[in-house]
Amino acid sequence: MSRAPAGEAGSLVGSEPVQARIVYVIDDDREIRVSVGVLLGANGYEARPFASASDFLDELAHLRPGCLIVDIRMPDIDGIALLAEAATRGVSWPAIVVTGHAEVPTAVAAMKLGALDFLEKPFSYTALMAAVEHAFDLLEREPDHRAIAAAAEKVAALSKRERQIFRGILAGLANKEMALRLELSHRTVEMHRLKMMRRLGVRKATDLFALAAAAGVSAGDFPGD
Amino acid sequence: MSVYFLLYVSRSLLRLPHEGGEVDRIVAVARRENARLGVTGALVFTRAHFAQVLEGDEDAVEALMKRIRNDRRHDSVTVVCKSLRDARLFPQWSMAYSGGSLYVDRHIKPLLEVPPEPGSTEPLAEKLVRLMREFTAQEIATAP
Repeated sequence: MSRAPAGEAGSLVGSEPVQARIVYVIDDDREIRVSVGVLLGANGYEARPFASASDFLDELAHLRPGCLIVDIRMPDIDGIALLAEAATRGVSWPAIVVTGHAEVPTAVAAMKLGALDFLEKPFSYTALMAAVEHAFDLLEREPDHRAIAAAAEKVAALSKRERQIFRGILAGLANKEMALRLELSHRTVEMHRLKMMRRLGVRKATDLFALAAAAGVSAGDFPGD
Repeated sequence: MSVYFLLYVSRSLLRLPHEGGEVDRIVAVARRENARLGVTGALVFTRAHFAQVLEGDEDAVEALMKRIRNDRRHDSVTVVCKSLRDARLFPQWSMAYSGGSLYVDRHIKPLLEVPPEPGSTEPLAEKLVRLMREFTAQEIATAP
């Protein structure tokens, strides 16, 4: 049941699922955070609670794609403002909005910001879980543009040599061969390779392939530019 | 001065995402044609279903409805209500909502049930129209 989320570079090339589907629960009501968290856990999801919209927004840049469950009425930054702010940051993960007061104008405002569903408290757990299931259907079917852009940026930031080595690895060439063809010493190639891997934030060659897939980079010609 | 009002719902036959462009085409044609015919209203698309309100001269709306029924991009076309009203509910014709919201779809799906639960149609229809009006109102409010 737990398939890897589509945001991680590794999962886009069909590697083993390593992370549970994560649901961010943003509600100033502790009882809701706890009860929804328990419900999610029982259904195989990882629940990450936040007591306020600002707590969530502060961490957003470091969070992996997931489903949001957001309360409308929160002091300070409310649910609608949260969705709007997330959108301006390029985050469009599926959001399920919950409220104690279901009013059409509020629901419409949430829908216009792309919310997946709008549930009135006390909501049925079945309805909530159905929406969460649907959310991951969407997440896992659609490419995560933010992750793709991030991967592409990393590759673009490589030096010319590093990019050549990158392509060489994608083409399946060993260090020795790359050294021969680039007319460099074996040691120099190794050094560039290490730097390149560090810059891209990967530890194994297999991660490189995953990153390349995420960035939409194919082996192309070696050495290329 | 009375206005003929009609609300229908239907099941989309569009295969997404590659047939998604059809929705834009539907909207472009409808906007042009309905303005010409003096037909106001709103369209909702929830990926699984369509819902549309058409208001205007009875003959114009019924002629339009005939073409809509024959459109191959949907089936199970169900006219939920039609009546004569004192005034239009929509200032123009527009696309009220197009997206994957489960909340919006819940307002449409039950109206396609055959046979409908007795007494359910009217309140459901009212809720749907209310929702469509709110989408249109917020669109107008936030228009540049």
